[in-house]
Order: sequence, then structure tokens, then C-alpha cells
Amino acid sequence: MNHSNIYEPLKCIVDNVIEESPTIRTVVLIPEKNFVFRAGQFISVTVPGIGEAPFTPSSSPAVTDKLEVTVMKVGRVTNAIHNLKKGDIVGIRGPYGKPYPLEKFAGKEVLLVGGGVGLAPIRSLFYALIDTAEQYKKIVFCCGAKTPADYIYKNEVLGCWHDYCSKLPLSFRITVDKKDENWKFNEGLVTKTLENLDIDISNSVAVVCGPPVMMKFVTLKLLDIGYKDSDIYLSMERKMYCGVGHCRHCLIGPYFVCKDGPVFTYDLIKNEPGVWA
Amino acid sequence: MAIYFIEKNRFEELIISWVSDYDVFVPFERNQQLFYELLLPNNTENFSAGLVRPVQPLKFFFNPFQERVVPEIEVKEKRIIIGAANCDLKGLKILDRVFIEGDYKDPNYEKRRKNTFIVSIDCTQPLSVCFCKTLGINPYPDSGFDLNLTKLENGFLIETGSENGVKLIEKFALKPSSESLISEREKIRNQSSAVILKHNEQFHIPSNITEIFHKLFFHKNWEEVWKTCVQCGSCTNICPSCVCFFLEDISKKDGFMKSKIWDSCLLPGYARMASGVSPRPLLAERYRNRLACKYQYMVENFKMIGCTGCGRCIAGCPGKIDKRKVLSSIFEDKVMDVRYESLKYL
Repeated sequence: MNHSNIYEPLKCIVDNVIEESPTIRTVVLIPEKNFVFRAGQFISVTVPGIGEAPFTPSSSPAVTDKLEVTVMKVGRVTNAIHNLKKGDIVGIRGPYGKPYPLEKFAGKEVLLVGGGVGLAPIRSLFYALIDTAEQYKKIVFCCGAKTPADYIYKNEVLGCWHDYCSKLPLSFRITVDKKDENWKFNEGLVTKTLENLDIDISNSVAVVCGPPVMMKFVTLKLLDIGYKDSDIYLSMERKMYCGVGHCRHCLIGPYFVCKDGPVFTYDLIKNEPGVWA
Repeated sequence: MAIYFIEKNRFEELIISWVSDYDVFVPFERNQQLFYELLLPNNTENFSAGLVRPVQPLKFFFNPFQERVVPEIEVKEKRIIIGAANCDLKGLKILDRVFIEGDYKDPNYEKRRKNTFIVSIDCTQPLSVCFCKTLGINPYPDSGFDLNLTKLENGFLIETGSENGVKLIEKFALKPSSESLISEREKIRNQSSAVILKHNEQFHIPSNITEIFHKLFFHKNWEEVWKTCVQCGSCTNICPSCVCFFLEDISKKDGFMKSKIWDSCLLPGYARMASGVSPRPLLAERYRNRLACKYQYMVENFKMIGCTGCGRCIAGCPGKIDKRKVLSSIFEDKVMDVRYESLKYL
């Protein structure tokens, strides 16, 4: 970011608003200047006059003239984001925080576990992994949602991404908590997809993002099947304002989610109070 | 750097000479407490530097309760603040670590810090709530000031702590202090330290507080000690090192506009996310978190303990919670009434 004032947002024009599910929309933004970020880093989105909230971009980090954020409607700011129309102006600050350390994933088997709107940062990571696919031994993508209608990125996750499987060492394990008559994938909680994994766990890293309760049970399951806590990468969520380690709202114990995170390995935060809040 | 002596009436001349170029703030006694007020040339009569820390921490001057951060405001005023104690210099150091010593600089804070000089004091009349000494902080400063004062019977010792401090007194051609006055200063300093230690004999605040705090984070007495807290936020507002704030967006059609406003970790909405989920839904957890921030997290973040022992959070608590009793209750494993009965001021 070139601004000298850390709080000054970069102006963006809303290019499109895509309805992903009844409660989730993806907003496509065109920033005034090219915007560079790495998968896992987050931005703070200002809806003028309403407020500001942190989101991890869900689009490919290789694209710098457009940016996508996928937002679930839960509060005042997210509600306003859902009501944005093409041509509206918003602001973004960032990118903030530490990205997924792709260099540490090299030579390993990468397990991605995403649930619900938690697929957003995983989507960005997935594009980054695909762009450098030759560096990883294997990619296994597990994802879940409540019902088929709750799946986001349906065309990709349930459709075109599967085309990569013939060319790359990539496989998908897709589930819903409760299926309908048209559902052709699995039924059951996302933790069920972690059973009988065809993965060399001793040479694997797991990346998890989803609602707190899902992250908790996926982490416990991963530990159970033999993952080391230092190989489990979690995208943590906290209330945030500044994004730069000043306002102290996002602390998990002594760690700033904005500065030391949002991606943490489980070993670092496992003993801190309120981790799964 | 160097230590000078200045007689009482010349000292008044000195600070009045600053008024033409600076906004000069000095402590005045009001209801047996000290409050910073703007110095006017004809009003030095009740001026009381050299007793103890004023009610306001330095934070009030550098990080005001509410201010616009987008677009940036102009910070033009040049100020001299007289009468800050060492506890406040240490609190200001924490603010420096947060706002200007990291990768990201707070625009307004940085400008104010450059435009403001600090004339600190040695405490000569510590309050009953003061407990700096138990945290390894002296009631007199060793750094962080432009000038430091020690109040003597007929005047002040002035120690220079920076080039700016040297410039502030250079017109006055002060005489270097005699050795005997410097030993007098030692005596005053030792006396104040002894008084603070005496006030705090009954409390159990170990020198390795961070380590002990960490170990006793889940002590059962945390369930009891907060019970008269009314989550008003007084302690966080008046604390010299509490920095938490939130941003409010007040953007208009013609551009972005944001304000920065103090927040308090005691309030239920502080860490509550849009989903309604909070990592600390219980007041007991929020109360413990505030102390953990001071004694544990800030130590890890800034290599400095976040509490300076100024006692403001005790004096300002409508629930009459004496933090020293809270710590004693945890560290001594003793259930006790953590409230104080009355406070003695100046």
C-alpha cells in the first residue's frame, strides 16, 4: 500500500455481485490501482458511512486488477456489502497479516479442508497451489456445507475444478451435512471426509478454514489421525479494526490475528484461552 | 546528561518564558488531586509540580479519546508538559511501542510526539494507591524525558535528558548543581521509594509477576475477584498504557472519513464478532484478560510490563476494586474482599 496514512482506504468500484447461496455473496471489486496480495492475507473493506470489516480475498492472488471477497450476511457491514450494486464505491486497506507459507508446503502432500464460507480463503489458496502445482506431491481437497444449496463456488468446487484432476495429483472429497435428491457427492460432516485419507500424513500439511465449531472438530480429527499440531494451518477469525497490531481487539493470548496471523499453526495457539470462540 | 539548580522564582520565570512559543501544561491542585491545566502567565500560584503524578496520564495529550484519522488532521500545536511522573513516562513508552515503533505508524500520534516536550518530576508525595516500586519501576525517571525536576526546599534540580531539553533551558545559563544537592536528591528519591514499599507491604506482588501470572491464569479465584466490577471502563480510560480503540466510519459521498475512538476490553461488545460469538463472553474472563494484557501479553509484545503501578485504575474504580488485592488473592491463593475502604490523596 502506497498511502502514508495507514487508515486511508484504496478506492474500489464494485464490478459485480454474485449470489453464491441464500446467505453468501461474492463481490467483485476493481481497485483504483493494482492490488497485490498473497493467499491467506486479509483486507479491511470499508462500506462508506456504514463501517469496516476484515475479509480474506477469495480470488486468485495472480490477478491484481480485480479482487473478489466472499461475504456471509451476519451483521451490519456484511448486510451492507450484500446490498452493493455494480458501480458502487467501497474502500480496501491491506493486505495485512501473514499468508499461507507456500514455500513450506513444497515437496509435501497438501490437505485442504474448507467448510461453508470458509472456502473463501481456501479458494484463493487453491488457485495459488494450482499455479505452482509441480511443487507439491499431492493435493487433497475436502469440503463441506450444510446442504447442496449452501455450497459456494458451485461451478468450480462441484464442476470445473475437477477437470484438473486428470492432469494433476489432485483429488476432491465433497460432502454435505444433509443431501437432497440431486446430490451426487457424499453425505455427512466434513470430518467424515478425513477418514481413510490416501495421504502420507508424516509428509503432509493440513489447511483448515471454516466456522469455529467446524475448525475445532476438524483439528481434533486431524490430530486423531496423526497430524502434528505444527502441520495444521488454521485461518483464525477475531473482531478487528486497525489491521496493523495497534488496536488490540484481535489478540488470541499474546498473538495478534492481524499481524501474527490470520494463518496460525495449531501448536502456537492451542493453549491460549478462547481459541475456538 | 547534566544536572542544574534553579531557585523557585527563577523556575517560574523559566516556565513562563516558554509560554510565548508553546502551550505549556502544568499540574494544579484541585480537591487534593493534581490536574494538568494550560499555564497562563498570570497564574502560577497553585502550580504544584514535584509532588506526584497528576490524575490525567500522558495518553490524554498524545492519543485523545476521539479524533479523526482519515483524512489526517493537522497537528500544529507545540507543547510542553510539566509534571509527568516516571510511571507516566513508562506508560508513554508503551504507547510509542504501539503507535510509532512498529512497522505501521499512527499519523497523528507521530506528529504530536515530535511537537511535544516532556518535563517530568520525581515523586515526593506518593499516593496510597501508588505501587510502581513493587513492579520494579522507580518513583523517579532515568530516561524518556527532555527535562526532569526534583523539588527541593528553595527550588528545583533540573536534569537534562535530550537535546531539546538542553535548548529549553539554555537562555537561562543555569548553574550546575552542587554535589550536596545531588545527594539531597538521592535522599528524596530513596524516601519516596521507601514510602511506596511501605504502602504496599500488605500486598503480594512478586518480582517475577509475568511468570507467576501465566502459571495462575486458570486459578479459581479469578471467579471471585471481579464481582464488584460494573464494566464502566474507567480503569482502561484512565490507564497510561491502555491503547485499545475502535474505528468508526463516517465517510460521505465525497470521500472516506474515519474516526479513532477509545475502546475498553471490559465491555461485552469489545471482542464480540458479527456472528454474536465472543472469545470472552463472561465478565470474569474479560476482567482477567485486562490484567493478562498488562502483566503477560504486553511483556511478550513489547518486552515491557504493561502496568506502571500508577494506581489510577484503583483510584478510579467505582466498584472499589484494589488491583493489588486482586493479585494478592490469586498469588496467595486466598479468597478475600478485594475492595478498598477509602483512599488518601495529597
